[in-house]
Amino acid sequence: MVREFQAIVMAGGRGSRMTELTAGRPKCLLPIGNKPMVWYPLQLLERTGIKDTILVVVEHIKSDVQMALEPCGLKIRLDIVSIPAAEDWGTADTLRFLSDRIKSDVLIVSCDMITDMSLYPVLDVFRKHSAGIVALFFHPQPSDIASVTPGPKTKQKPERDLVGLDTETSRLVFLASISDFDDTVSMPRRLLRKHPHISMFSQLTDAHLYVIRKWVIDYLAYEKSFSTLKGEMISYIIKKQSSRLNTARKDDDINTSLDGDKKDLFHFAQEDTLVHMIRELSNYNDHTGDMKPTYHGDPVRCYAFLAPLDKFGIRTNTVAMYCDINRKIKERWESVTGGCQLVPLHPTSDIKSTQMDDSCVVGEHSSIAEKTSIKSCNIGAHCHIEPKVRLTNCILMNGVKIREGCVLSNCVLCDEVEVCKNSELKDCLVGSHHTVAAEGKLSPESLRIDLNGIPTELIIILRELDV
Amino acid sequence: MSRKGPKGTAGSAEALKKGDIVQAIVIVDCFQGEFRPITCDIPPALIPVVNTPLLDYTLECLALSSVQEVILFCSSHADLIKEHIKKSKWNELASAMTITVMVSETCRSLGDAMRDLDAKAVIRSDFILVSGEMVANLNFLPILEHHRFEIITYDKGAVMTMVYKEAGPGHFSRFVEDEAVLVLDASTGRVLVHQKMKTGTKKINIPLETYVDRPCVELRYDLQDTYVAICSPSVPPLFSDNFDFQTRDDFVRGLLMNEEILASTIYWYKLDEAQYAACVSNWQMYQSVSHDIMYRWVYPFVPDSPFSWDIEPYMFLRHNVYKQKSVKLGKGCMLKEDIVIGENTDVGENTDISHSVIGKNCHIGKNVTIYESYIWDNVAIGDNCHINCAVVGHHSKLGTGVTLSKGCILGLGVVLPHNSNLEASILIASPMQSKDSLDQDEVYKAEKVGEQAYRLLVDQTEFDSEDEGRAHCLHGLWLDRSGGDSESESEEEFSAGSGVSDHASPVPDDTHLFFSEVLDSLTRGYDDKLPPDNLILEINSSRYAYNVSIREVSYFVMKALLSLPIQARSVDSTPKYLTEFNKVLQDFLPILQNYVRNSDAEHDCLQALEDMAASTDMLRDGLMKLLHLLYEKDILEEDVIMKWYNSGDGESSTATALRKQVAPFIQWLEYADEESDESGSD
Repeated sequence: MVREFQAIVMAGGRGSRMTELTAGRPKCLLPIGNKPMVWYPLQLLERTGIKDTILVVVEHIKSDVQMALEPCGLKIRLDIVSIPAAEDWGTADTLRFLSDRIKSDVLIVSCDMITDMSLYPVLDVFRKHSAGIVALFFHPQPSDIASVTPGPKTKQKPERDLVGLDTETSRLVFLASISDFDDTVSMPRRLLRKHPHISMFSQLTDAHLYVIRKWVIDYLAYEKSFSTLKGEMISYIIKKQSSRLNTARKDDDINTSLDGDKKDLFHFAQEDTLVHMIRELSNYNDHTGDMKPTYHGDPVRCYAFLAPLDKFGIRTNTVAMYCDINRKIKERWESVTGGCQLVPLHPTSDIKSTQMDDSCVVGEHSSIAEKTSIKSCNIGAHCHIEPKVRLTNCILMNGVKIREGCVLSNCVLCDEVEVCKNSELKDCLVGSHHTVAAEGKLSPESLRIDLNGIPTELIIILRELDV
Repeated sequence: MSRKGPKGTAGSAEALKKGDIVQAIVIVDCFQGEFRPITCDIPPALIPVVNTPLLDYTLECLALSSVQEVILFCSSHADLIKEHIKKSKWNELASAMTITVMVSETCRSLGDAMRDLDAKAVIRSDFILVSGEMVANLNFLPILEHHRFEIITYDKGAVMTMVYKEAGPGHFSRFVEDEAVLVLDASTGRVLVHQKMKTGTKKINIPLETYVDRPCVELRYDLQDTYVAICSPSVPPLFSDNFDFQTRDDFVRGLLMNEEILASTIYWYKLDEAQYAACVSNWQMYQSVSHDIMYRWVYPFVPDSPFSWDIEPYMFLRHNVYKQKSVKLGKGCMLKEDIVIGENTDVGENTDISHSVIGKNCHIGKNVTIYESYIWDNVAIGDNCHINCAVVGHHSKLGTGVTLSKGCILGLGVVLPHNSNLEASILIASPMQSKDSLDQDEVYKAEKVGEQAYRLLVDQTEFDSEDEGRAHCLHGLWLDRSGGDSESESEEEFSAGSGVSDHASPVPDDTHLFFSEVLDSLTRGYDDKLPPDNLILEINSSRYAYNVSIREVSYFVMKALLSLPIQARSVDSTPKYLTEFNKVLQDFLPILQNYVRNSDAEHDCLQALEDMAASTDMLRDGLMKLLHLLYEKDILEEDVIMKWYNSGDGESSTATALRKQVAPFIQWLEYADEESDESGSD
């Protein structure tokens, strides 16, 4: 049975913007709350009613992902597909690889998206205009400036897009990365004549959630030169919307192009003649202000859905975002997961601490000794925390051991980290399998001086320090 | 006595502080000369639109918004304006609006006017700036309040709020030369970029920084300038400080460009759909505003509710016919639709009128057809005249059997002899008047048509180089409704050219992009007759942009030249293609010579020819002629052609077929070669 939508969750990314965290653990399995990151989009799809989902992962982590998702209790039918790690495949390459398995329109979701928005309005835009592509954008989230991201300060600027929407119809008419421009942005006049009222946004977050019509996938499978989905293919299709050739052709006079046997985008985009007749006979029009037919007669149509201002939506693709969402996840739990029960303290955990506030999450088989103070922390599985430890605003992945008398605030400790006695860590990010020496006092500011004194086997992985 | 006393003074004005007097500056001369030569006799503000002088609309609208003080700023024809005001109801004691006429004979632009106002220090606070040719029913007070109490509170530097009306591209009341793109801050309504779009502009460039610092920026191409603005008192001093500001566009551009230096910002205000405002600045607008008045968009300013005190009311009949009581209609006379006829006009038998305005005391003969025309007062039209898309000025006389079509404009007092037939011309009563009052730089030659009719000749060659729009409006061609349509169509075709070029390259790779750019440049260059040197520069810059090797350049330039007739002219047969290509080559030979300098390049050239011929039938059939042509023009040398001809052996079947096809030419070449050898040896 062919369903209306198939979903594809892209979890094959390396997490190149947060290498500190992903060195020891694939990005899609980073814990957020007490769940792996990839669980969030999956449960969103499940709640949306999607039945078939392809989860794309790099081949060597396939079993890890399977293991991690097993206890999460997802009912959605998952088809985990692995892509070869050796080849540097872009998102479009991955989709082309999957094109045999795609039988219907697809919903492409990135594994790092977390939102409390329902997907129905997005799908409705897709259905209503029988769009080729619908993309979801979030408004920038108000961030609490006070919080400091663990690890050193970076000068890395976030990638930003310039998104242009027809204000009246929400047609997506312009999409480009800001870094592609030097100082001027030029736009064809034709575009403005067609869409005389365009809203340009420069601060939106692209959710990397795309609803894509089947013909686009066919085109992608045919046209081998696209490598990335957003940067190359989608922006190409958006540009082509304003092409003169983007008009409905009644007869199949596709051979008018100079090289007749080469198919172009519009060859794939042709709509059923019946659909045309319905549209012609209907007095619906998507726009006003000129005498042009509905949709200007375009078979290729891209739309954008702008999430309402009060909705929450982020992509966890930087360390800052990752820490931020871990801080917020508990208060947002209800809305993000659609009323799923949060078990903050796993029943198998052994917690003796008396000073532990409500906003903590503790994973299975972790033990927390008495005389400890734990505030706003995410503690993974099999962690061991000894007495007289104070933890504030920390993220502990699995198997972390914190010895007596340590004071940690605003830190991220990756898998199997050991922090020896009486250490003090502030705003630090410790890579997996490292040991912080006893009596160590670390903060990103003091690190440069202390670096020489620290034994070589202890490495605090930080983004390249600009020494 | 005014029938509609200014009652609204108390109501809405209360929101403004007490003691505040709302001032309006009306610039009576538009300084544009779009209505010349008619404006040699009357100021543009006194041109009748639906039988009422423009200035009356402006003043009435200001009065309805309870503006207390109006300063009329005139430069030419000040006496006529003064006379008009003296006779009007505004001169009566009961009038709540005081009108001051300021005259400055030397004033040549809006800038001069503002500088003069600054010198005379008449501005007290925020004021309304309108032109004397405004037709509107808008309420100024909310806009003034918006400027004064909302914008100023968060931006002290705001100096101007410009009023715009929504009108999509292709809207009849959009004037081509007025088209502009506005870039606005969506949250504040601040104008960030104001870019005029000239005809033929294909791209608009907006600085990146405009977008980056703001969450949402709006690009609007669907706005029509109403030329109404609310200005802060600091506007006249700004004009004084920057003596290069002449027009309002200069002012806006200067302020936006030198934002930091001048510390002044501009905002915009969108009129809601119920309000109307337009500036009758040219004949096209004259026509569209007349229509809007007849269609009652400007209510309460419609012909049947007269606001000029001396006019008896019109009857409003079905099919949008407005007629005064004293109008006499002959037997069998047809008033079709959208017609206004003023008092004491008589229309002869079997006369057919539609979509037209006819003034008072006119005499129209028998069997006359009048369509889309504007006949002013005291005009006599003889029998059997056909008037199609024309303006006929006061006191003109048309003999019998006169035909006017395609946008004729008759000045005041023109007398046309019998059976004259005129198309798209401007006529004036005497040749002398044009010399007196026109600027020296515009010389009109007049051709005598009748005793009191001189036809102005516009120097065609002069206007060919400029964009078409200007020449058209001088001719008054804009009156023809179809004129506007064809213009937009041709532009559509024009822009389509680029669409074709990039469709051949479904994937944006660099050489493809380069090719489409070259094709683009050449198409444009061919259409606009750009000098080849400029195009070479353009091609070179694209070459560096896409990092294309010199050999590829010669290949692609040749290919582009070959595809030009197909792309740009869409020829469909070989002979047509060849003649078209010949034309192209005539223009662009220097380009080809520039790139094809050695045998390598010639070889690339041939390669392009071969590739194109292999894919296009038209070219294949004409291949021999093309080769010959290029040989004649010294682009291709004999040796290279021979080398190419001999290289094809053993390649694909199409390549051999092509070579077989040009065999006669090669034989001829060989023969010519031998001959020349022989003659050389002699």
